[in-house]
Amino acid sequence: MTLGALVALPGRAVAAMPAHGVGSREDLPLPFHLLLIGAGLALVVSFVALGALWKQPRLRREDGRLLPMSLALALDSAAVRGLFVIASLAIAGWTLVALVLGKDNANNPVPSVVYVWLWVGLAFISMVFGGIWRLVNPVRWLHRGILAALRIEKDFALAEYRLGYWPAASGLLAFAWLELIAPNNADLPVLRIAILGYLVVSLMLAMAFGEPYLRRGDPFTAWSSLYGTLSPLGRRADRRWVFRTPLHGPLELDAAPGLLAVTSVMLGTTAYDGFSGETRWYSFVQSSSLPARLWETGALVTFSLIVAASLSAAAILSARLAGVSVRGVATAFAPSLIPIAAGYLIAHYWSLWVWEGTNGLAKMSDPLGTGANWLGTASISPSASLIAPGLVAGIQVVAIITGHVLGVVAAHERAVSLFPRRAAVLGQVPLLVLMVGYTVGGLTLLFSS
Amino acid sequence: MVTVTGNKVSPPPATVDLAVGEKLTLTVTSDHADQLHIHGFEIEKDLVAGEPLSVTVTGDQPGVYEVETHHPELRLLKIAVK
Repeated sequence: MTLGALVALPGRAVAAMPAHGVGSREDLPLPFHLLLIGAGLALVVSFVALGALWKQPRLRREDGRLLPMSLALALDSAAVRGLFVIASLAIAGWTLVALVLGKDNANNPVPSVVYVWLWVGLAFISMVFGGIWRLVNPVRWLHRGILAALRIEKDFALAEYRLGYWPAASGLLAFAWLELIAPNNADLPVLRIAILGYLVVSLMLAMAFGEPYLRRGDPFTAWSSLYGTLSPLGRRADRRWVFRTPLHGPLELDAAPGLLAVTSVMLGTTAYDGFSGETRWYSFVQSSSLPARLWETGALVTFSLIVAASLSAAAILSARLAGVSVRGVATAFAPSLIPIAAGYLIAHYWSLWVWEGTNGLAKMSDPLGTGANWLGTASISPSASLIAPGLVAGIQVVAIITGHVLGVVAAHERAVSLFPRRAAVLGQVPLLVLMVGYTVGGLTLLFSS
Repeated sequence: MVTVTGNKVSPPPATVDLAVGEKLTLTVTSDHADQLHIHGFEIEKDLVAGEPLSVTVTGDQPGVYEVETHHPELRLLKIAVK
């Protein structure tokens, strides 16, 4: 690590501080009146929804407004898809150059690309355009390239893939640990090991299980596809492109093994990140006689387990009240966690995305740390108006409440399709109470940390 | 005024509010050699064991910024620029 080395970039002079995590600023606490308004809205919306929403299942896989023919053809064309793949491979290759040959200081773009673009940026893009990582995942194309070079057919697999979302859930938890807890996680030696390890493990699993692993088990594909279910762009039952509601996607997910685990990790890790900034928590942790990282790792895992356990308990209680079998009911309600997790993610990371995402683009212009400006983006800086405190607080409340409303409606739709009509209203109460709890909890974390 | 003894921070970590344009002078004393890092203001200075180090920052971009040491990693306080 080059301490105190000075690097002059065109247009601005920057002291090359040692790399030190990502994100040097956090948002101001949410004003208390917004916490109250948000919590009140969540409660009212939930119970109004319970009485007023439809009594029969309404969302079908055949729904949606067809996209204009030209747009649909473009989305399916090899040229457009190829362009996205090439763009993704180019960014990945550029990042690998900075990883292998770049200088290990705070001007290296790799931490921003990995922790901000790949984590927050991919989720945001997927929420708008759908789960694009399935198509552009560099590991998928590396895997294909290796098979082609060895003259093996592209659907080669040693064994049938049956692990569902479990590898994704563990991979995302490991990634969250690397980002939020691991020591020196923005230093190149650590990132080199992490990225190389991810590539090797992914390629081995892809070789063993073939493309089915990459579609569901790859952590970033699952991350992108699950947040991507919220996109208004989707394919209806006959595979044609349509505009549809953000609820059609989550509700058509298969009840694959590990779906509850992966959605719980999605919500739990973001909640942990909010919680870890609590003054009382970190004062306790850092002065404890046990290593701080032990407490932090325990808390990260506990948050995901709490989400999974509380959703399971509420879903089982709901099924009992409705008088139906509890088998598979927790997984059946897991998709309603996706919009809630998305709301938390936007609320928590909007400003990080604006701030470090933009800084990352500036750093990408000089991947080797030589003072170059290859992309012409070296002097761009984040827009202060996009992270003005009033705007951020507004985005936080709107995101959390929107996620809550979508979660409640998704759970409602699932309840009326699973539960007998008489019991469907009563059966939803435990789930509604839990979701109000998640939402008030999320707002409280934004208010107090 | 913050004192670090081993892995204990005194007074315990809290959030200090600072208006934009307002100045804040921090004095940190540690019982061991360490580095002081103030996020956001990009200040990193060496702490000499037992010697108070004073740093003045001026509130600029609104946000919350952490003040920490590196050996061991301790969060001393947060500065909330409003």
